[in-house]
Amino acid sequence: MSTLTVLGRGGRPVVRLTVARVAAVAAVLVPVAVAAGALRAAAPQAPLWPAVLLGAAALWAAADPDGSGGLLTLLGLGAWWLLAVPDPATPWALPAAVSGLALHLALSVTAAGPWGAVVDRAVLVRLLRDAAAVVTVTAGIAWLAQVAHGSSDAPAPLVALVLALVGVLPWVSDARGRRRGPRSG
Amino acid sequence: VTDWRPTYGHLRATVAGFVLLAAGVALGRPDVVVLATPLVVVSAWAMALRPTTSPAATGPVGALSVHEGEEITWQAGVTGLPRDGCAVGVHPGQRWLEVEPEDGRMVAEADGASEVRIAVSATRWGRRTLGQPAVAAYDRWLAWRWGPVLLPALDLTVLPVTPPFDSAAPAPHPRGLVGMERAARPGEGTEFAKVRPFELGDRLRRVHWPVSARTGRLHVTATYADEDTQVVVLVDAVNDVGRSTGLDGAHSSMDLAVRAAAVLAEHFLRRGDRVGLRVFGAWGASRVPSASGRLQLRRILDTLCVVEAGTARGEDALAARQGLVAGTLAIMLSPMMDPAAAQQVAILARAGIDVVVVDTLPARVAVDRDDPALALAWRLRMLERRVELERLAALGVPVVRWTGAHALDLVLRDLARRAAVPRMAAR
Repeated sequence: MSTLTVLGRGGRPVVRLTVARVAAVAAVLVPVAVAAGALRAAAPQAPLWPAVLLGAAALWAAADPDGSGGLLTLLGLGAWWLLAVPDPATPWALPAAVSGLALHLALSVTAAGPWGAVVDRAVLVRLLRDAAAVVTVTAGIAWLAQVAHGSSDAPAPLVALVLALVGVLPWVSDARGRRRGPRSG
Repeated sequence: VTDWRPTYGHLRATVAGFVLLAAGVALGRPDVVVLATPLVVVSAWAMALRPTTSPAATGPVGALSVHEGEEITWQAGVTGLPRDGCAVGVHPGQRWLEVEPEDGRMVAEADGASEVRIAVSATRWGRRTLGQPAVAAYDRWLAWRWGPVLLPALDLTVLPVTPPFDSAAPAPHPRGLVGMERAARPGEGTEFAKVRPFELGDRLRRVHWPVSARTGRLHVTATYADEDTQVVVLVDAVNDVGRSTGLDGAHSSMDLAVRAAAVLAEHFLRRGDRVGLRVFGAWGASRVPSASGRLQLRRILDTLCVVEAGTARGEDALAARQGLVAGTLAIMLSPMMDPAAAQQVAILARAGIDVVVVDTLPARVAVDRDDPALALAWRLRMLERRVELERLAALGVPVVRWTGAHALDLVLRDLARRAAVPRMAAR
């Protein structure tokens, strides 16, 4: 693997950048940028300074993926969205939600080993496959939210129904998994 | 109760997901519920599929012998992984050890197990214990972790590399009974000497029939005997001058000396000669008696591995001569920084031993130019060293700079030629 090493005094390496390390940082920062872009599209009048704070929090999370930076970034994104976006039925909520998921998964992979650990293709494929299932569920809920927004009914029951659906899905998946083989997990 | 623990990522998804979900429901904001949904789904999915297996990790145990630059694969197995889980393995790097990938590897589960393979390559000779590798296991969402578990460290014996040295030059004083060198005396061998009259004991197949028919007397073809020679490699380990950054980087004087000793030993042993080794200035590695054969090469390489420069100072200069007799080819590998080295060479030369000094001082030695006293001391020592080398040359001791395996070729030819001339030696 090609490595860029910055040497300090006495020939000691100060910073060592590998493709895997750069990819890990990019996988954390890009979703935040996409989420900020989605928010900007949903609320063009919103101030941009929170994006700088989010970027700083994401950098902190990239440097310490097993710390509080990731949680702060996700909660900060939610708070900014809640305060800045005026339209509750905006379609830009789905890209922002997918970006949040991508950020969470990138941080989880980065925290699983040392910074820059090489992740085998099979691990990534499985993770993307599972993430695609989650995105499908999210898209369904986003569609339901869009549909319910135009009706005269209050959205609360619909949200409750969606929550129940979300709660049931894991157990359905677990039951399928148990049927497939004796191993649990 | 299992050994699986929730990760911080699981906590993050749970807290962020349910906080956003609660805020969305409470404030009647379906868009915020959409934001929370993937995190809530991931959290609930991971909670529902909490692993209940009991993983186990195994790794290689024991000691390995490799050559410098030779790549080996460290392999650890993790069993008992949950479905679609993965294992992460990390092997720590250290000085003169290249690890690929340096930051570890994440491997997917297959049939409940996975194998983590990491390439390890030592770039400098020596004997060392590697750092402890570690493995950990995760579920499909990286929400539950088992480990990390430390695995036993490997003991690595790194033998110096022996690039091919194919000198055609003969050793100056062949001795002994068998070998590839042409001896000065006639005997059973392969190289033609002369045609002489038949004597009692000559084999019939040696009869030279054309000359016998022409002269009317039986004549035979005489040959030179094939013999071996005794070579002793002397390694000066009193000082290690210069900085070593491994096989492909900068070389210190000990790097050059040890690698040159390995090359020379292999070359002369392959020719059937008897080769011995003496190390000065290193504790624990002093002497390998002369012998021949492949096993002797391994003995020499094993001894070179444990050389630590400067651990035994103040040896008697006369110790170099112990057990060496006139006619031995002694090859001294030294940076000639210690005046005692020149003294030892002079003693050997006066005893009638053919000595070749191989200068192992690196071409470029970084001296701290900010310290004028140090720079001046270095310059003075270099001037003294030059005088000492000139004195050795005056004694007839060739000094060769080690530039590779063929540096000795010309010198060995000169020595072989000079060996035919009678001379006086102090006993």
